[in-house]
Amino acid sequence: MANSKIILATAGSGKTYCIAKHLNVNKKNLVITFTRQNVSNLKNEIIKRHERIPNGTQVITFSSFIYRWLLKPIEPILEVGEKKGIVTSGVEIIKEPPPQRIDGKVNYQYYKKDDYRHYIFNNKYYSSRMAALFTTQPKKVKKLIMERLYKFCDLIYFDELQDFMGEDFKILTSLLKDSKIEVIAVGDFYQHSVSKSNFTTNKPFKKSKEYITKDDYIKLFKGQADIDETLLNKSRRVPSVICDFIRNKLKINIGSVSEVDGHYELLTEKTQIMKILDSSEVVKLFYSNSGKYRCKPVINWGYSKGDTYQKSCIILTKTYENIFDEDFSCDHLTPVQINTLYVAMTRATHELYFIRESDFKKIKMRYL
Amino acid sequence: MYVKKLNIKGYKKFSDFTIDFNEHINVLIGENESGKSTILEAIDIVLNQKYFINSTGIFEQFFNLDNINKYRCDPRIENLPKIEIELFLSDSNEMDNAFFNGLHSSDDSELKSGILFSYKFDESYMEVFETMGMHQGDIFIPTDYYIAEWRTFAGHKYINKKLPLKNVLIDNSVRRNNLYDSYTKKVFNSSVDSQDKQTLSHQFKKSLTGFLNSNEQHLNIKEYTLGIDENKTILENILDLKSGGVSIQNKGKGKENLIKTEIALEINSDLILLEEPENHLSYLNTRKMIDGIQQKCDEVQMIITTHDPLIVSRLNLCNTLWINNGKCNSLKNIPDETANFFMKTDNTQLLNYILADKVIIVEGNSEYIMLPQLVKNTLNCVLDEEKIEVLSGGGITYSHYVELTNIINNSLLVVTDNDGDQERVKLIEEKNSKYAHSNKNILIKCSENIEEVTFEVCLYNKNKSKLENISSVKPKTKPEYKGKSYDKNLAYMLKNKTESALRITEEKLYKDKIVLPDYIKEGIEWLIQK
Repeated sequence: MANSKIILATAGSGKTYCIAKHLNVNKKNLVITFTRQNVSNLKNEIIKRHERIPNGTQVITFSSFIYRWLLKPIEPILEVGEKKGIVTSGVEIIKEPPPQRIDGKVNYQYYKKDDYRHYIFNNKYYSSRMAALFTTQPKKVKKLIMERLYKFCDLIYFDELQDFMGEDFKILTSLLKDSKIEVIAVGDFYQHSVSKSNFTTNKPFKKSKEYITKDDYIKLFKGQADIDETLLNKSRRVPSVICDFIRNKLKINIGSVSEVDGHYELLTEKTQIMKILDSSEVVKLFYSNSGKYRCKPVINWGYSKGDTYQKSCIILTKTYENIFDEDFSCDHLTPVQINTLYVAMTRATHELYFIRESDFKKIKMRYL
Repeated sequence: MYVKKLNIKGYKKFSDFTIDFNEHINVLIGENESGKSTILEAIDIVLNQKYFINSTGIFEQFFNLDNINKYRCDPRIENLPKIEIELFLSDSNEMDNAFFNGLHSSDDSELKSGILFSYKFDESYMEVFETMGMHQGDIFIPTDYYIAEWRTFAGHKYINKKLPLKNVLIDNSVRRNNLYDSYTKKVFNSSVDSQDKQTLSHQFKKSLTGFLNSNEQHLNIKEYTLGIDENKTILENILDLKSGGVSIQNKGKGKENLIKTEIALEINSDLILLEEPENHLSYLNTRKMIDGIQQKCDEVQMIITTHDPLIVSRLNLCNTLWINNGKCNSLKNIPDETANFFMKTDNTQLLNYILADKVIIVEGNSEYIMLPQLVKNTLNCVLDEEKIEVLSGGGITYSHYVELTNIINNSLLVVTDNDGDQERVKLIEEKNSKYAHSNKNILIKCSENIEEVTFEVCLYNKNKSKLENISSVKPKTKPEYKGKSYDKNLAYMLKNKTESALRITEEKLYKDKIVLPDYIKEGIEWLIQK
């Protein structure tokens, strides 16, 4: 751990802004995030602040990082299953590897880890198995990869820390453990397990069938990095009334520094409901299959991660039918259920509306 | 960053060639056709993606002949000729350098930075090849199925937009057509930054459109309109480099050359490739140009091919890379003192000395003039045919040549005077036995008789009867030289060294008759055997 730091942030607290601000143009920086959308968000924010992407700073996706920095340059000694030194022609981005099991049944098209075809298809790496390929390398190979990394890079920024799971998380911790490189990771614990794609693992967020708490999560980094929980604990996006509501209902500690006099309400009147659903200024957030509803703009709760809207309207699920009741409690809910709604609730800068599932059902047909 | 090393496999002259470069100045020397220009060309191919970037070219001319023959004798897929050029860059911790750094090089045990160019049969056409059915007599190289590829040592595809070293190639040899245009283009591309270039190009197109619009009525012919061929009006293709309002094309070869080199030195580049910069330049202009190079040499890397001994000596012998028989020999281990000596003396024979396998250094002009003829008379052979180069050493400087021979491993015979000094004769004997002991091909010869003070005395003694009338052209010659009495004829020879040497090699009376003194004869016999 060389001054490595983990900054736990809340939704809309300016993670991207914080990274752009922290960037030292005299150092060699790698800025890593998960999606291409976030790459361009980060690039824009950096350009806003420094006029251009400074020489010696690269903003790339995590899979691009694994491919370009960890695997490709040392391919001649890379051990891929039973083979060594395969020179590939890139990353397979369309085809997913055949899974070990399909619906609980053994899949005969699955290749085990000791077969190079576990990792490679048509001379290209399966994107989703590149991280595992790195973590299975012998010590000697890893050491060389790391030495190369230190040579060209002083500081690595990780955005969306909470999205590092499974093998990705292993790579993150091995970089944190290393004393030769400084790592700064920023993320919102309460947005874990909310993502645009399906996960094949829920490590480290689930431990022996139980989800871990934020405190447990912090303990994972003990001795590896300093934890900063205050720098980004206030949301710039979400108005304080909505933050209060979230704290109250979902027990997630989020503060606000927004100066907007925000507003949230539960819509029960049919005419009111339809007025909002018909408004093109309000983004409608459905739990799933939002695409089938004719009340654009629409999006799924999970897919809205990272977005900012002025006004939004959440169509609640059965689970949250009673969220406006005095005695509502989220104690029996899983973090996945809570986090997904948390993401949906933290998108709006001004107005947030809710519609109960039972109320929506009555007019659902009009929007199909 | 600079070019550290180049490996060339299967390209033109070189079947397998390696050259290590110095960080700053590199002077490439070698006989004609030894491959000096090929080295510059190879750098151009790797860095700037020259030639092979268009798949339509005819590239057979680039293959190594041995490789072509090997394939013709045995047309198997493994024997298909291929080209690999590998360019190693110096180490750098800059983040941009990561793009070039990895294990995808011929030295795959260590992380290195560089680019590999390859031109070879695309193996995905393996089946096509197998069905081509080569028959003896019509064997051809299926270059239609060849693929040219540039990859960095990190395994990434290289395109010249990622150029690690800004470079400029100035070709002053006359072999290539239209080098002038490409030179202007190069100057434009490396001195104007890319944003300005876009603006200029845009402005140019805009004014062309303006021209078309304002002359619309004249350009309309019935149902046709006259437009402008966009392919012919690309700005960088029609630029012309001018100096004082005159195109440097029209300034005479020498001036053009000087200007081009000067501009190259001014351009902000990391690497300057200069091909025979001395061409068409006078001695003074060559010196002016060398001064320019010396001023610049701390900032950039320069690779210069030359046939000019002045350039070799002035730019420090240690920076010389000698290309010979498909190999590169660096002279970097030459002692500073020797390098300094040649740097100061503008030695015009230096290049001949390095390029020759066998060299005789003689004391003065008279030996230099007579030696070829005397060898013919004595040993019945011709020095040129034996590939022996004769240089006039002029005094004690042969010690510096001995240092050179230690490095370049040619054979050296030094013919010198004993100056009437027994000590000197003894010293020379000691040196010779030292050279023989350490297997050095160096021999110093002088007359062992200390009465025979100089070459003329030895020559006279050996050919007394044939030279008994040589002084007759100057009957008043006194039989003495420098206060010592000699035979009249010998006194004439000592007093008129050059004149008598010329007469001996030209006049019928002497030309085919005069023979070498024994010590020289022995020396040359030794040298021929080497």
